[in-house]
Amino acid sequence: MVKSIKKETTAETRVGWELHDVSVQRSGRDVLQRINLTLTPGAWTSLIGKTGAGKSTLASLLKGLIPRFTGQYLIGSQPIATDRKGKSLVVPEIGFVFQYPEHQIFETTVERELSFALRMRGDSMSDIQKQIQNLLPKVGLSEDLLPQSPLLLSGGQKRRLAIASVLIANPSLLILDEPTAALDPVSRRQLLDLLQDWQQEKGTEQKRTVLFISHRIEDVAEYSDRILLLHERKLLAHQTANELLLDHSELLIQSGIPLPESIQLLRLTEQLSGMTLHPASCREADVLREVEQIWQIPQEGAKHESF
Amino acid sequence: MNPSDRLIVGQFLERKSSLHILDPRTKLIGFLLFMIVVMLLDTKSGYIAATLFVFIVLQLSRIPLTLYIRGLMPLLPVVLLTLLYHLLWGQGIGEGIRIFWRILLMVLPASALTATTRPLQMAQGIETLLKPLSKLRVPVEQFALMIVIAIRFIPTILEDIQRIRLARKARGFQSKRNLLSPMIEFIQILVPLLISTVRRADQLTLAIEARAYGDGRGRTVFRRLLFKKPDALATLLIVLSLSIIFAIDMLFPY
Repeated sequence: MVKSIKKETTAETRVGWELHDVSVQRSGRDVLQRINLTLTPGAWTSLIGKTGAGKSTLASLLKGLIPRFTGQYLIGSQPIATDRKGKSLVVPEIGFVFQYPEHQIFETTVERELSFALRMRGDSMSDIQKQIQNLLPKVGLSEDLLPQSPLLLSGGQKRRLAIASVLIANPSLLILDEPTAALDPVSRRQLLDLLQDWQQEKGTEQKRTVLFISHRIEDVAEYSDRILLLHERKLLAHQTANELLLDHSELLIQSGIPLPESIQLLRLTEQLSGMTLHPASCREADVLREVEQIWQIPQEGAKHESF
Repeated sequence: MNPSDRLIVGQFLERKSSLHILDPRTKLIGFLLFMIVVMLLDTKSGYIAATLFVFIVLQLSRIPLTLYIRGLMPLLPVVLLTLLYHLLWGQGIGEGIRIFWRILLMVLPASALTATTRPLQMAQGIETLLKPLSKLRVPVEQFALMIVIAIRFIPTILEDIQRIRLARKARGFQSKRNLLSPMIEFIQILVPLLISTVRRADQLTLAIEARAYGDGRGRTVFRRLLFKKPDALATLLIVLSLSIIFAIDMLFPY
């Protein structure tokens, strides 16, 4: 009986995450100050900030890993569940990938690692098998690996496995805390593409919601619908990548985040030419095309103007 | 709980206290003497006197008492097990409490020692104290480094445990409320923990060797250890208080 009730609550996924005036204190110091925030369902939101700005704390708060805070945290317009002592409980429908995902592997085989969340939820074995078969190709892991020990995999495989074992539970909100840290540019791109494919996967009624933490804006600008900028425990901006990079790049400088090279080039060009430039978007290709036009660099592929 | 909210044996905390400025050898010898005295104690009055001494030492370290107390929490299962053991097979609850008290009297000064001594200084201290043994071809330097690394890794390993527990919790693990489940959970965490620790040890070995450790020439030191006035005073105070504790233990057989 209890189990069926449990299932119902997970089936009815609550969406929409709102923070109202949320502050978090640790050892007498504020680690987050009066955060107001609404995460749009179906959007990829990226959380940017310098080390120590409070990014991880904000993410843990959303997952319910921070037992005490002031202000209000609403999930689907209901306040976060608490235990008898008033401490927040972990939100089961949110998936959370911690920093250095490969350090969180703990099971004896790849298969058990993948199925952990499903087993905890009480899914049937055949269901679990089906979901694993479904997910494996998407994360670029082969079926031969299933009976192997996860600790023998390569670094990249481990990271993908750790992320896959969170994805498999089909979370309504997926939070990733710097999953691309210490990856080479190619693997970084692969991982981001994989996540984007998962987010926009067909067959689901709506796009999935992602909160992606990073300290490098150039990694995520292209993928994000929205960017949150956190600086010294406060939320400084909540904008699209275009708005933030093209119109409000001073906010980034103020928070100590280096601008992408293409944007730096754009600003330099503006200074030298005395003109104000308006690239179509903050994508590197668009910015570079704008810069090239000013300097009138003849280019062979410059014919295709719009895509 | 946030790991930085508590103090675990092996962690160093930067403070300006009278304990921090002492020579590591003074602290090590003092600690050793205190251990011996605790082992010799027989009566409640002796235990109370020793507890008072520990309390004063902890106060001198300028680290809040609550940090020390919270650092004891991971020890709780061990303590409960010894209590249980003595209750069932030993000489009753009194003996259990005595052992528990004794553990406290040893762990708390040990945390104070590591919290107020830099790992490198500790290594140097152990090394110079053991120096005479090198005449007997004991590899003193390696031995000292080994001890220090072992101590230094206690908090790191606890952090690892915390990380894996958090990852399990985030993926829907709920510990059942019975006596056995914490133990089962611990065993499940133990395997990945051992593997990551062995791997880390391997990397550390390489890193140490890459810095030309053990090429046979012996290490030079930047800061030489010197006994200064405070050390003489501290030694005197330690010997004096330990004698008092011992005297109380002998004179008030309660």
